Amino acid sequence: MDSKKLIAAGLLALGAAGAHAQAAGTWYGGISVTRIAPDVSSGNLSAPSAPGTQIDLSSDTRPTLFVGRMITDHIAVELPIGLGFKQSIRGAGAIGGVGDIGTVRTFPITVFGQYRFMEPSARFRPYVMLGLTYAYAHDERGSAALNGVNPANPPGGNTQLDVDSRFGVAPGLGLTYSINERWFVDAQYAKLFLKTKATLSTGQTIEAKINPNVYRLAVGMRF
Amino acid sequence: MKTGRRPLLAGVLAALALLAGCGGGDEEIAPKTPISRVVIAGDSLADSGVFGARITVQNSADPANPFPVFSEIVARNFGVATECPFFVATGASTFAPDGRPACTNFAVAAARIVSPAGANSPLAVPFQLARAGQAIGTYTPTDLVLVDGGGNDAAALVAAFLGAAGGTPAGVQNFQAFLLGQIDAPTLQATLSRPNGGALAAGLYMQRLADTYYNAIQTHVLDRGATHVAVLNMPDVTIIPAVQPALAAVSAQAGGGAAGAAAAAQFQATIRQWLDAFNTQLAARAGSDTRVAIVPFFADLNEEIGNPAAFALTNVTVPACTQVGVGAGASCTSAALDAAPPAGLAPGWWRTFAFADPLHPTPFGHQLLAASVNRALARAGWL
Repeated sequence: MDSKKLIAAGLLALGAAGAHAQAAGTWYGGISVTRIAPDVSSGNLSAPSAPGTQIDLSSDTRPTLFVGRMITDHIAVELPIGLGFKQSIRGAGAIGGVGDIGTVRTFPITVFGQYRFMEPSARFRPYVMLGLTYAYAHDERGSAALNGVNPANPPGGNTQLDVDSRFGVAPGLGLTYSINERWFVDAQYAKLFLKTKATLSTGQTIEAKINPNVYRLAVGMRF
Repeated sequence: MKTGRRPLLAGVLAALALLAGCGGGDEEIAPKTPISRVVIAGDSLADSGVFGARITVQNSADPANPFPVFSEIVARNFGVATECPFFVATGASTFAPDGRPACTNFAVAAARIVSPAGANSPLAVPFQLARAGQAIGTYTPTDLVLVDGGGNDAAALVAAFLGAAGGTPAGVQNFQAFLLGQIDAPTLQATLSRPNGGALAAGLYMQRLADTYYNAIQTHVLDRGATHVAVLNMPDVTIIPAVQPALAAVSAQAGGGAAGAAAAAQFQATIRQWLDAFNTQLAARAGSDTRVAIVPFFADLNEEIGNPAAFALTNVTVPACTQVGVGAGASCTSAALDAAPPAGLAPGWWRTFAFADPLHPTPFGHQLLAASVNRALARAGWL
């Protein structure tokens, strides 16, 4: 859809009779930018490893989409849609400073239930929400640094890593500002409580609370 | 409303289809610095078989692929093979004059920074560095130079000190001759005349030894353009099995028991001061030179021996064999060890021992040392 058509559609919508607002039965959706910023609390890698071998995860920001529906005038169900995130796994603790020991792609599948305050026609509608997330981890890659600092790495070989896909709970809050009957902007924050486990092909395991802060800025429209 | 939702759905699907093409491979992430050649100097820890075998357990299952030493493990992680030693031994301290020009591992078992074989012997690490510099010419940014030395010097110093402590004229004379290798005569006499002069002189010796070591690295490696030089500092020799008899002798001399233990602990602390004198000077000389990464071998070995379970080590005090490598040590093979496990242990037992003989690591000990070196290389931003 090019921008001219979008604008035309928007103008048509403005002229259309019957306000939708955020009333029961309204579908809405839009485009957004989502930043996932882990707040890692790492366990220690099991033996053999230097005591206190830990990990950290980098942040990532990606364009995303979302779609939602007002079930009642106050309760909405929302689904973020994206192709996931790519994050660097960094050494921490006893291997702090070694840099990236790998990368992992995560594809979080989330359903948020939201409670929106104020009346459907209100310009500002703050909301609280609770999400259930399945964080699907895939395409994990180890680095030469991981091979190097892993004493169990077969000489000259590669250490593979596998990150468990896990469920997490994500409470959050947000604010929607209606530009007009159709268009709105939205800011959202959620804290995803997510614990996972990584396993190396050489047998060691490490558990970590990833607990990312998830920030989202969005532009959306109602249908 | 239905007409509004369909374009949205179509848009979502189209975006997903478009971006789904961006998959991720399974290939590993390459080192930060591409290293195409690894040049090695040092002692038995880094020796690729100058005397015919690596100084660790021999691989019976695949003799053509011996268990690698740490320097080889580090090199392989960069995708570089260093399995051939430059020097070819023709006897215990004699070598073929020209070496193997294609080989870049200059390390020789039993090498010291100051060798009794003389400054122009491959048994002297500075000579190895000079010979490497001569062979290489100018180092390039894709060269990694790996240097490990000083452990044998420290062991020899401990032995000479104990010989003098025995009080025999020959022992005292030998100790002084040893110290003169790094300390000029007037300074040595002045130091020895002070209280506890022998120990002080030994500390000064180690400090000067670090200078000798680093001067060689400066002249033959850094001044020849090397930009990636990893230097192992001196390990804590007081915790390796080879030095335990010396500590036990000190304990016995003090009458054993609590008094003996105190004397042994004090002697251990004294040796550690010497090692610290070396390591402090080495660190000071390297300073903040980003071309040099000092590997904290002292701290890392202590951590391993102090936390065996974390490193999956089952024994850090008893060596798997009495001797390894060549001669009588050639019989220390994986098959022989598997065939004769100590009471209560199963075949493979030696794989989780730290020491292959009183002085040298098992193949797994070499992997632990390589991991320690690699950690320092990664921290330097090279791996």
